[in-house]
Amino acid sequence: MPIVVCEQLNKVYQQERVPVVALSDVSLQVEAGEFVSLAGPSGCGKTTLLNMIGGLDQPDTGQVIVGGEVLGALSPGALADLRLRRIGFVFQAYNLIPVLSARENVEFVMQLQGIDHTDRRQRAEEMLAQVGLSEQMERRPAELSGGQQQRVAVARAMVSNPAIVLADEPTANLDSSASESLLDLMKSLNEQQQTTFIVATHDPQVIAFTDRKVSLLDGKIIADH
Amino acid sequence: MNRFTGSLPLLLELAWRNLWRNPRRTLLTVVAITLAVMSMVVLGAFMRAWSSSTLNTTIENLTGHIQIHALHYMDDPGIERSMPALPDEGVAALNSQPVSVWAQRVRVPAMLRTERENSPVELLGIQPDKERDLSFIAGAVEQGSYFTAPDQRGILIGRALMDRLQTRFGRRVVLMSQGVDGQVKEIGTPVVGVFSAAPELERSVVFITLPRAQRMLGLGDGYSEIALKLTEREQLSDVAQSLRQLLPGLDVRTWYELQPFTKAMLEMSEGTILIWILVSFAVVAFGLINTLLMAIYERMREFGLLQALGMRPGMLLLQMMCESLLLVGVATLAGLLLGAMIVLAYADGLDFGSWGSGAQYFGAASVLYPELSWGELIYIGVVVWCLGVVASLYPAWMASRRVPVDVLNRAQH
Repeated sequence: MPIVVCEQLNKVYQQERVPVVALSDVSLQVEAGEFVSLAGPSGCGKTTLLNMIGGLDQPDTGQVIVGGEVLGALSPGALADLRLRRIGFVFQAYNLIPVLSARENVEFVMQLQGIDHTDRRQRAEEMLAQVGLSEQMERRPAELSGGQQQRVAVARAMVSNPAIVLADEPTANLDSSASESLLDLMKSLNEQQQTTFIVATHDPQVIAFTDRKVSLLDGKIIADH
Repeated sequence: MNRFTGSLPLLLELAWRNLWRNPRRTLLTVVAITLAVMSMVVLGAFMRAWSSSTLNTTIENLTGHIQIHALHYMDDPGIERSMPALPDEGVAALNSQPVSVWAQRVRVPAMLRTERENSPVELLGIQPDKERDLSFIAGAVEQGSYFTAPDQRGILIGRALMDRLQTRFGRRVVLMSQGVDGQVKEIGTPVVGVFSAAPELERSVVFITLPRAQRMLGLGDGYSEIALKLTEREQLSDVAQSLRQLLPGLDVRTWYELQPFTKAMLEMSEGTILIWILVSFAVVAFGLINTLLMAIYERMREFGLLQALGMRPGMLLLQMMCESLLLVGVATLAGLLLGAMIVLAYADGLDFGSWGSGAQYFGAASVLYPELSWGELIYIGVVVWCLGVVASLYPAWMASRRVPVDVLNRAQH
């Protein structure tokens, strides 16, 4: 059974009174444990599709089913719960909480989940060690490099063992060495924990790294192999 | 609910750290709220001190808490409207009330004359022992002495009146007034004491003992008024009501019926405090809303992120409220502490100096003794804190209703 099902998704944004088609009849199924890239140039609709799978945006028509739940039927609170329990996000702009240290950022989701202090601290420290940040775990985001911040974001997305990780241009602000290191990390987590990765990107390095490549252009899927 | 309470430590910690992301703005808001709260505490204490002083002065300046007269005496306070000797039932009625002291007085218009000048005055025949605890006069004699015997010879006059009549302590003056028989009565008597008091009293009131006044005017055991002081000020209405029932046919009036101007002034001062508190509350509320809204617009991306990570909108609302509760809590505590320190620093009295003589015209003393009211401190603290919650609702609601994707996408451009 697929973990993500997108059926006939359509979305039109109004940009300064001009309608812009973001998605047009997009259908997609992703099986659990897949490592999928959504590729295409800027404005092709890959971020919109990723946001819809994460329940951050709603289609005008069509539906998204994640883990058997139809997202359009869920309340904002239930959607938040779904994201908390089943989905991890890695954003292009890192989006760490600036007032928390690296360790606290990684612990944050587990705190929301109600995991006890000792357990979540241990898991956060293990995950930060896994991404190579044992020495920097008490630093705040402003004290970390771009690559280090993105690794913290990955650690945060992975620490509570979500079924799906949605990553939007995760290497956009990284150099090629940091990108490769991050991709290796994501791949190893995918293989070890069978986590499903869906990565929106236009970086050929990332696209080449994934098992399944979905290409979008002008809001439509033009290739899936 | 468990999820909310379980997350409360996290929310409080996040809220506290968020407050110090922009220390200057937070400090400015804290200072504004602190000053507003402090001004409420200090103004409240001083206005209460002024009200208390005004009321005490009014009571001491011959008004007492309650006065009893013959009917229509207050319309035309002359000898014709004197009361006969107080019967035993009357004495029993007065003694049955929670009264600390009561005294009879003769109180009629008179003329005081010296060899050079004369002046209309109000003549008071008093019972020296009782009057000592009832009014200001025993403690106001600056030159000479207060009456030491119930039927002592002599007259007490104010310094202003003495100067006006161009007489001196120890000199003889002539007191004239209409007797019960309608004839003008007069006695010559020495000035045995000169008192200092409120300007109006100094200029227009003179004291002799009650028996001498009764003999001079041919009143027998008659008198003009009974003035009394209560043990508890709060019992005023009950006692007045009770006396009206026990002494039918007499005119029983409370201080605020006798001194409506004072009553109006005290009500106005309470109104002033209320207006000041409302203005201060408004300043606090708008300052807080402004700070929180600015913080929200700066942190839209973060709110989107928190919701993307799985924070429920309700919990986000709670976090924003925690921030305002901490902000207002710290500022309120600081304001209460600062206000309390200022009030305690002047607990031994604040002398208004030359302004004080002006205050006397309005019935207040020139030295005010502010007192800390714990009830008022708690009231201000709780109200300002609750106001913080209410004021934060709108910004918090604004933060929690944003669609995450809007702000996350916006942040990426």
